[in-house]
Amino acid sequence: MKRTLRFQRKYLCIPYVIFLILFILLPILLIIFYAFTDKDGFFSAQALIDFFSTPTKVSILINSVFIALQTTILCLIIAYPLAYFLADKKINRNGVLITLFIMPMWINFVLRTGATRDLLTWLGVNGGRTPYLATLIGMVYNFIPFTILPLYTTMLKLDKSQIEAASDLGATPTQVFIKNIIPQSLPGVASAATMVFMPTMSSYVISDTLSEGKITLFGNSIYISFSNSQWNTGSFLALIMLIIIFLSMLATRRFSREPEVRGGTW
Amino acid sequence: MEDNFIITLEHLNKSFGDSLIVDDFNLSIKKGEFVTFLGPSGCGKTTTLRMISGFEIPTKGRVLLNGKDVTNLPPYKRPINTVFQRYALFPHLDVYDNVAFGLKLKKTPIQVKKRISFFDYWRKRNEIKFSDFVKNLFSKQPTLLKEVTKMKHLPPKVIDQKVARALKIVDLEDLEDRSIDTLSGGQQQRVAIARAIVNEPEILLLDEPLGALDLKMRKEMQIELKEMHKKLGITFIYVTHDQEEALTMSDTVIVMKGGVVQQVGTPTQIYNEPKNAFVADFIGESNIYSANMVDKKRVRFLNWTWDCVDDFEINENVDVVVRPEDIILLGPRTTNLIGTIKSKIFKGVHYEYIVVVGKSELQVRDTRDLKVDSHVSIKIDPQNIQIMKKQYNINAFYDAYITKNNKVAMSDDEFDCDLTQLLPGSKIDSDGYLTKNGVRYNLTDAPVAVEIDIKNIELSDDINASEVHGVVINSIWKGDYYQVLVRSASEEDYVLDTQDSWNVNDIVSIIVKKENINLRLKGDISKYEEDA
Repeated sequence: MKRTLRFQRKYLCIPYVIFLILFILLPILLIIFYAFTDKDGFFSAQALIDFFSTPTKVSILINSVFIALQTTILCLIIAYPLAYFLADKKINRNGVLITLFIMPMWINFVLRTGATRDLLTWLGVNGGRTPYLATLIGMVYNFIPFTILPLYTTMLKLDKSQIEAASDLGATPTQVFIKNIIPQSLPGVASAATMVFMPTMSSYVISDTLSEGKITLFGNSIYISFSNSQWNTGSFLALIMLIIIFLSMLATRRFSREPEVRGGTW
Repeated sequence: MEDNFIITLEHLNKSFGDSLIVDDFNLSIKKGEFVTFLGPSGCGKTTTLRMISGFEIPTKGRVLLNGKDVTNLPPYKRPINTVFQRYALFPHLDVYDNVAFGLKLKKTPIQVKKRISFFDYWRKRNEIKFSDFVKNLFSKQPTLLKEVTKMKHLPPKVIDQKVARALKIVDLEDLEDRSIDTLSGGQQQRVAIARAIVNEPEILLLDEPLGALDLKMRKEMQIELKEMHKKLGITFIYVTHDQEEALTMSDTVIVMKGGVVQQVGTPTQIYNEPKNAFVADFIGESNIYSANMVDKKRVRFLNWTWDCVDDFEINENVDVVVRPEDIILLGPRTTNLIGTIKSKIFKGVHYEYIVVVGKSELQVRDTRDLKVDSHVSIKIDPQNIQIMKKQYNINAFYDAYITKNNKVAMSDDEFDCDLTQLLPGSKIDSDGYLTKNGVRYNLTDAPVAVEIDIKNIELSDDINASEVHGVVINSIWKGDYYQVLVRSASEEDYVLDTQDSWNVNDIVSIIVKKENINLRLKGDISKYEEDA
């Protein structure tokens, strides 16, 4: 009897599996391969030894983590109250305001950074003199839409009856905010933090443009390594970056209370 | 006498935009009473409750708590706690912390003895020697003390005790450390109650707290709540649309409709002496008829004249309610009204009969097994005929039903109606079923109460203008309009205001626009869910 090839629903995921292998799994394997081999393709820990024995490289890493953390915290501090007020239907009647706030996302990234530099220089925050401040401002400006959006959606979903219950039990508006609204919005804070922390770790265009090359971030050094054909060193740095992002995801996952998605691929 | 009342509502009014939700609500509640606000959804009962708890500010009127005006006091300053409809527990806290939430926020004044300061000495420098003051300042057991009132949080030990006691009252002693989402609906309900009573409020508000529980659980909780009320001795204000719940639990029931209080009374008063046809219909099963006072304490309905005990003006049109259990069926006698048994249903203790008299139906409860189609004579004791003033601003039909064509029928008079009003957010699908969120409801033969404003009925000479026809019975000139009474072919009466003059015995079409027919489903809509 001839078996006819019948279309099944699971075939629909074939393109994604191909994509997954070609653009995600394979590159990661390549990175790991290059990180632990030398120029001739033999196993070598040279890149690892090099990295940890060069103080400048380690300090670039620490610096980057530090800037990323600062950016994340600043973004959260600015975006949290903003999202809270934007979620109030009385203030943000038909979502026009939220659109205005995330509008910068629609403008080309490099163009926007260049414009930021000119604006900051005009305002007197000169990248040459205060590279750190300029970088930080640029980072926060660039990533704040990514913080506002997840926070805004969380704020929209706040359980009003819980807020009323807290107030009913004797909590003043401040206490309601601290004891109920903040705990309720933690998942949003976690996803907002991840959305900022990860890209700030790896971005280098902003720091390059705004600090006029005075601040080198981890992303820069990866870029420089590859553009100087030091594939092994570059791959090792990329691997470290991967590990840090993985760790930061683990850290934030604790807070997001999203229901676990069950079920396999097939 | 006024200090007897723990809470007084004076001329409370609340409107959202143009719509009036609560209209001139007056009520005084005694300390320790169990009061229930009862009414169909949208009657303003929850809004009234929210004005007591402080979540809504009345548009007009005052809320007095122990004689003090608290109308504009925010909820957190009121000694009132609420058990919310959907519990509103804090999912990020465990059972203990949920219950302790209010206690941890609470600050109580505590008298503390404190060593006197230099300023205190200076003020009393004539009485106290400086050397004593200095000695007092450094001694380990100071003798010169003053009393200070300090606002302090409750000590953890006290909180522990109170939480344990509250959890014991609701029977959840061993669940302190459990997280909220591992609890069943009934347990969450108990946590919500514990969380409210642990603060020892003067008034406990309960907003349909049993609505989300299944029937068995609900019955159990009703009894437990009643017990709790006895044990705690505080005032309970309970909101529900379930008349049985209201009757079993409360000391006082307030029946509301459309933001207006219909009747205030004990459960027995409300059941036995309903003030109007709405209350009679909403509370329990009832036979409601339009009637006319033909003589002193003589009322005519079902084409028969009955003795009654209520004294109304002769010739006044009234509504009459007779409870099914108050109708006595006897063997056919010429001196009584004769009817025919149309159907019977066995209900366990009793049978439920539908008896047809002329074109009207009577619902009768009897423990005897009588034959369908047999003739019976009908007797009603005069004191069981409850006569109520007729409301002349609306036409109310309490035994209407939905036909399979999605029309509403009063006897045989069928009108187009808008079924989606029975369930907010629903629509009629292509097969003619009412649907909401993918759930289908089959409303064929569902009993409904219908109300039509007397301004919204039109008459027409054109016999094709409507499928419902009637005869003009009378037409009264009311100064600038006529009030016309039309009786339809199936013996339903329609009252309407009109500018036109109609002659008695004119045959007319009765026209009611779809949107002017107000429907209220008897029983919960979930009964009519279609199995997928």
